[in-house]
Parts: sequence; C-alpha cells; structure tokens
Amino acid sequence: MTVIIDRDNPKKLYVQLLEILKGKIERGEWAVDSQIPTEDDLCKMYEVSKATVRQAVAELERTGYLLKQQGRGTFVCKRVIPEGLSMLTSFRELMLEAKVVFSTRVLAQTVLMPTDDLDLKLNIPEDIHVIYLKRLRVVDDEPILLQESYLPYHICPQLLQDDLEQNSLLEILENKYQIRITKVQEFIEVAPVSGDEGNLLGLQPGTPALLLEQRFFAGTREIMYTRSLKRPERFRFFIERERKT
Amino acid sequence: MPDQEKQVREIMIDVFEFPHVPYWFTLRQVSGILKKSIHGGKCLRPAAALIFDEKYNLLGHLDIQDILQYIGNVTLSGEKARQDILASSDAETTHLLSELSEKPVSSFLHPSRLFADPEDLVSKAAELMLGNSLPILPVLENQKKLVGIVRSIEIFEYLSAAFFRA
Repeated sequence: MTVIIDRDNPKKLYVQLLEILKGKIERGEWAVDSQIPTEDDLCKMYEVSKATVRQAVAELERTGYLLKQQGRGTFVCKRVIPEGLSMLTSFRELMLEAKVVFSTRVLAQTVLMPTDDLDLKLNIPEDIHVIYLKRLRVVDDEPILLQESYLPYHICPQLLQDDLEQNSLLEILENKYQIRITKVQEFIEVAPVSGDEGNLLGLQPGTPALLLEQRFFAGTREIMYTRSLKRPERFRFFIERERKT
Repeated sequence: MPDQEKQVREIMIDVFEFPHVPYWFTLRQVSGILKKSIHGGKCLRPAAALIFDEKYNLLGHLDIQDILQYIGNVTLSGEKARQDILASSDAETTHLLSELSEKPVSSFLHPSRLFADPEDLVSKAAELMLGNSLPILPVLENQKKLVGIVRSIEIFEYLSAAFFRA
C-alpha cells in the first residue's frame, strides 16, 4: 500500500514524506543495506518536488536511517538499532525500573565555545557553538551522578528551552528532534573529583569516582559527548556478551 | 536621517556571529577562543565574546581591548618602560600573568545593562550606544530573549548614509 502525501495536512510536505520513509525502514519494508528508490522515483511515487525529497532524505541521513554513497545511491543504514537496546537506556528509565525516588537538577543549560580538546571529542570545528548541559542526579536525596553533556548547537537549538528536569535528554533527542542514536562509545576509568565536583557529589576533593565518557552517534555523525562522574559505591556495571551463532 | 527610519531588527546581526562563553571560563580560555576566531577569519569587529550564565542569560561582553588593558595593568605598571616590560620575562610578571589568566571572565566583563528591542528605531539604539560609549548593544525580544546584536559599525553605516545623500 502506498501512503500518500496529504496536502491539506498542516504538516510540511517533507515532514510527511520523512515519516512515510521512516515507517518503511522501521517496519522492514526497506531492508537494511537495500537501496532506496532514486530521487526522481520518489518524486513520482509521492507527487512531490525534488526539494521535498532531498529535505526528507537529508533528514533521514542526518538521523542515521540512511547512508548516501557517492555515485551509487542511498541505502538503508546498517546501524539502525532496535528499540529498547540496553545501551541506550536513559537514567530516567533505569530509575523508574528500580522504583527509587529520584530527581534531576539542571545546573546549567547554556551555550559555549569548545575549549581544550572538546572539538576533537565532538569531532567539530573549533569555532562551532555548543550546547552545554550540566545535570546532577539525586536518588533518595543523595547526589549520585554529575553529568555534563555537549551537543553542537545547530543540531537542536531548541534544546535550550526544553525541560530536562522532567524529561530524558535521550528521549527528547529521539522523539522531538528525530535524532536517533545508533552508536555509543564508552570509556570508563577511575578519576579523582575536583573541588567543585566533590561539593556537588558530597565527596572530598580528590576522592576517586567512576568517570564515564560517552560519545553518541547518529549514523556516522557524532551528536553528543557526555562526561559523567558517578559515586562509585552507587553503581555497578553489567556487561553481557553473547556469541552469535 | 533616512525618510523611513529602519527598525533595529533590520540592522542587527545574529548573536551566533560572536563567540559565546559562560562566566566561569578563565581569561586564558576566552583569549584562546578569541584568537581562534581571529585566525579563523570569522572574527567580527569588535573582537568580543558574549558572556552568559548557566541559564543562557546574557551577562555582558569582553573584547580584546579589555584583555589588553588587564594585561597592561600587570605588565606596564609602575615606572617601567613599555619596551622593557614587553621584552621582560621576570618571574614576578610571569607569576602575575599566570594568576590573571586563570581568573574567571566574570571578574572582567562589561555587564549588559542597556538593551534594544527589535522594534526600536535605529536612532534610539544609536542614542543609547553613543550616549553610553557602547561598542555593542544587545537586542532582546520581549525584554527576555536575546535575538541580535547591534554594533557601532551598523550604526555608522546607517547614519553615515546621510553624507552621501546630502
């Protein structure tokens, strides 16, 4: 069945087309690694202009659903990950699952320029504006996790207005901005907390804490770098390995 | 003055033309950001950084003239001659400069106290800027949201147009 574009729908044409194409990928109608129809074919199929098709395809590429290969065409991306994979479980989901009383305090939600090696960690030019989020996670009235996140400003400028005390950042990225995280690189080490970090976490400066650095990707594009300091006695990492037969 | 006077929104520039920094960044970090901006060829005049708080409220700005002034206060004080000091590497100056570089920009910024509205006439913005010797004037929508910046350059271009019509 071909879903058609509804021109009376207040949604922009490219958004409607994007939703149709995304549905095809998510339902498996367009298999991973398969080539999608050409621009001309999509224009004919949905009776829209090339500009509309380009905008929808570019957005799907940006959010990791599609991958353009020069001279070959556009393909459904291998990196699409099924819903609910544990690596993308947000703090909020974890806490709800554990049925503990938790809260998030947003300590900063502002914009800055990359300094030190942040441009390398985010894989961006050094003159790009970056959204900076600093959140303190509190469980049973005890601060347990201090999280600093950095995202290129231009990918989701409205994030500065979003309520991050009540909502999960990962959910907002996926549901509101259609930025689908498809890969996370994690680096774990033990690091001493600074004076400021110690004050916030209720630890003496220099106390060892678990430092988790994460780089989030949508397709091939890096979306966010996060640095989390965790009180070591409150966390346990669980890693499961399974051989694919 | 032109017959149909323009509104501020027509001449203001995008705030993202300027580097943004939070108030806790050090003078060294901000100097590094301004240097990159200058070397990258994207730097506007005045070469300034906008300083924000944790909630992305504009607190003020800092430009390279200010930074030079503070460096000058450390290195060019007393009776020492400028050329001697700039060539000097004495331990005390090095120590003072190191201390200065690690101070937060909140200690140095020009606080933003005067603002324009996007719908203000350019002459009103010009009056504010000229009357208060402001190199830049932030533009706030609904007295809250920062939407642009007016610089002396925009005011100059607008007002000096009269020379060529005379």
